[in-house]
Parts: sequence; C-alpha cells; structure tokens
Amino acid sequence: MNDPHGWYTLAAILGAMGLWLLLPPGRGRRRWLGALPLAAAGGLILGQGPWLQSWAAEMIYGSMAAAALVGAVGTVVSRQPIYSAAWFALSIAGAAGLMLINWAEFLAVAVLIVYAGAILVMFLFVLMLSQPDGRAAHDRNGWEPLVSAATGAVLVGVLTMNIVGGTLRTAAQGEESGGDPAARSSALARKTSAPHSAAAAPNDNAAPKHAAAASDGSATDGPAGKGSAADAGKLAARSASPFVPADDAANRAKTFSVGRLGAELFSRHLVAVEVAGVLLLVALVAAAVIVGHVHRHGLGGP
Amino acid sequence: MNLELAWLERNLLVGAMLFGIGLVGAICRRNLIVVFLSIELVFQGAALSWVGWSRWHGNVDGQVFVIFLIAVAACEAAIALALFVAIYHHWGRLDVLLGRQLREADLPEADEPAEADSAEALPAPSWPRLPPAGVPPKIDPQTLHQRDRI
Repeated sequence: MNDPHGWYTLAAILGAMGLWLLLPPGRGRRRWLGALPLAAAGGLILGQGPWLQSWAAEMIYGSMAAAALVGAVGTVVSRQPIYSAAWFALSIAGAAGLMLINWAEFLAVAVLIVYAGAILVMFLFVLMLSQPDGRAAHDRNGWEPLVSAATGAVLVGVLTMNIVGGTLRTAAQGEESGGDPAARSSALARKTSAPHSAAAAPNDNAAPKHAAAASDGSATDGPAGKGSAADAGKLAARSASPFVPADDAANRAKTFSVGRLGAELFSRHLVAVEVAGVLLLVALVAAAVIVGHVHRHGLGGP
Repeated sequence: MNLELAWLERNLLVGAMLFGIGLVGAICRRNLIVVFLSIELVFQGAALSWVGWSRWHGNVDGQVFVIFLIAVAACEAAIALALFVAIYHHWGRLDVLLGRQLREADLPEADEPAEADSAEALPAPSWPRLPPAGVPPKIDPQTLHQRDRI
C-alpha cells in the first residue's frame, strides 16, 4: 500500500477501537487489551510520518511524544480521578519536552510550572474535597464511548491526511535548497500561487515583508542581540545539538532566545499582555466571589 | 523533503493526536474534573502545533500565542475549580449529567434518566473481619435495656 491515506484510515479505525475498549465502562476484565490497537495506531501515524534524519533526534522525539500521548490516553480512560491527574502530569511533562526540543524553552518551563505545578495541585485539592476513589457511577460509566471514539478517530484521520502529503509538501518543494527561515516562510505564504518559483520572485508582495522582518530582526535584535561576540561561544556550544544542522543552530538559538520572546511580547503584543493581566485578575475575583457566595447562600440563593 | 518540513509535520501530527484524545475525553467522560483535564489536553495539542509553526516560520509569534493560551487556561482553571466546589456543595457529586436539572421543572425529560446507565455498580468494599479471640464477657441482659450507672 503505497498510498499513505490507506494507512491513516487504518490507524484511525484502530485508534477508535482501542479507545472504545479502554473508555469506561470497559469491556469486562479485558479492558487493557485496548492499549494494543491504540499503540498500533500511534505507531502507524508516526511511522508513516516524516523521518527526522537522525537516530538520536528520532529516539528523543519519539520518547517525548510517547510520554505525551500515553499520558493523554491514561488521563482520558482512568476510572479514578486521582489516576487521571497523575497521567495528566506525565502528558504535560512529555508536551513540555516536545516544546523544549522545538526551541521553545521558556514555554516548556512555563507549561511545567503552570500546568503540572499550579493547575494540577489545585485539582488535587478539589479531588480531596470531593471523591477521590472512583467508586461513583459517573466515574465508572462513560457517555456514548463508541460515538465519541469515532468522533475523535474521524478528526485525527482527517487531520493526519491533510498534514502529511497535503499542501505542505507542495509548498516546500519550491524552496528545497534554501534553509533560510525567511525564504521558507515566504515560500509558504504563497504556496497557492506559484510554489516552484518561490525563492526567486522579488516582485511578490510577501517576500519583501519577510525579508525586511528578517533583516530587521538581525539588525535591531533587542536585548538578546547585544554582545553577539560574547554569545558566539554559547551559540557554538548549542550547535552540537542533534536536532538541527550545525550551521543553522547558532542562527536559531538567537532567533528563539528567551530575550527575543520577551522583547516581542512587551513591544508588539503589549496591549494583549495588559488585557491578559486584567483577565487573570477578573478570573481571580470571580473565583473568590463564586466560592464565597456559595458558602454564605448556597448555590441557588440570590 | 527537507528536515524542517519533517519537524513541522511531526509536531502537527502529535498535536493533532493530543487534540483528538482530549476531544474524546471531553465528550465521553462524565466526571467534571476529568472533562476539564481533557480540555487541557486539547489546549496542549493546540500549543504544540503553534510551537511547530513557530519553528517553521522562524519567528516567535507562535510562542507568544501559546503564552496567551496559558493565561487563558489559568483563568479557566480558577473559575472552573470554584464552580466545582460550589457544585459539589450543592449536589454532592461532580456529574456532568446533573446539568439536566437546570431545565424547567414542568418540562419533560429530554433523554433517558441519568441513573439508568449506572448498571456496572461497584460492590461495597469487603473489610476483613477479625476472628473472635478469648471468651466474650457475660452481660446481664437486663443491663442492656436499663442501666443504672455508666
């Protein structure tokens, strides 16, 4: 079967079957047999996907993705909410690792702190207040497991078929030779018009904007760009990573540095940051009001 | 096919799978807390896709999006947990199907009752029973009914 769409259909069907077996109410004692078709589905999807061209990158990425996905499945199918929370922590750790090797170091740490540190601990407090042991009927019974598993399978199947072998590869064929991010993004921006003449079309309206952004980023780099000679050693040390070619690593380490992220966040997105802060404050006040109101009047009171 | 395209496709694939698993949990599960954790999984899938696109485009705009997503998720978690505490105080359990009680009292049930599907009830826990040891003390049956002193 050369066509990958057949494999993706098979993987979606296998995944739906596995999730249906695993979801509560499980099918008797053979409930954990559902892990086998689920693992087969994940292996099919990731195995049919692209090859990262290095065994080290493949193993590290595979282990992190496996942690994220296995944790996600465990979160969804555990009957006891305590176990759901523990699996969720594993999933968050895997997702943070994936972000870390995708040049999003600040996000990896922030996700770990916010999700696994704050939200999960709050959930454990609420679980202690309510019912931690999973004996309730609403823990042991699902709500239409077959239909929901089929919904997820259809969604994942359509998404995977569109991601791999879709318009992405067609767009990227025009800039096969160039590894420059600006050229790549401009090629992606006009993937509908002329994908094969992407890197050599100066009159297109997308190319000058990206080129200007790239040159602007390298010239006025904000706080991260200062003292670039001193940073050269660190950048060269980071270029020993197995994930990118060595000539690209120093450039990327400068592009995705935390200082650059902060400069973007507090210059271009300053208003959004303020709005997000106000939103957090409003949510804090709302939570306090809800809990205090219930303690004084009950849920149905005025 | 170049390496960066492989990375983008990988990240989008894993993000799509996380999204799908979280969606299934949010539809299927009946415990409110597990439903909420599933929605956080959906957020993680979206965040991973954003990070992948950020890597592909070579700028940090996707990562800025993820920062705002984390802020919104934190707000949602705070309010949702307050509501969970309130709901538990009022109804005594955290069942999604309790939302059916929000209908008007004189309207008929739109669906079968929620208790009908609790077929697989867990048996009560069987604690170990200690065997009797020694001789049980003799109790005057009259003092069981009327006791003059404690």
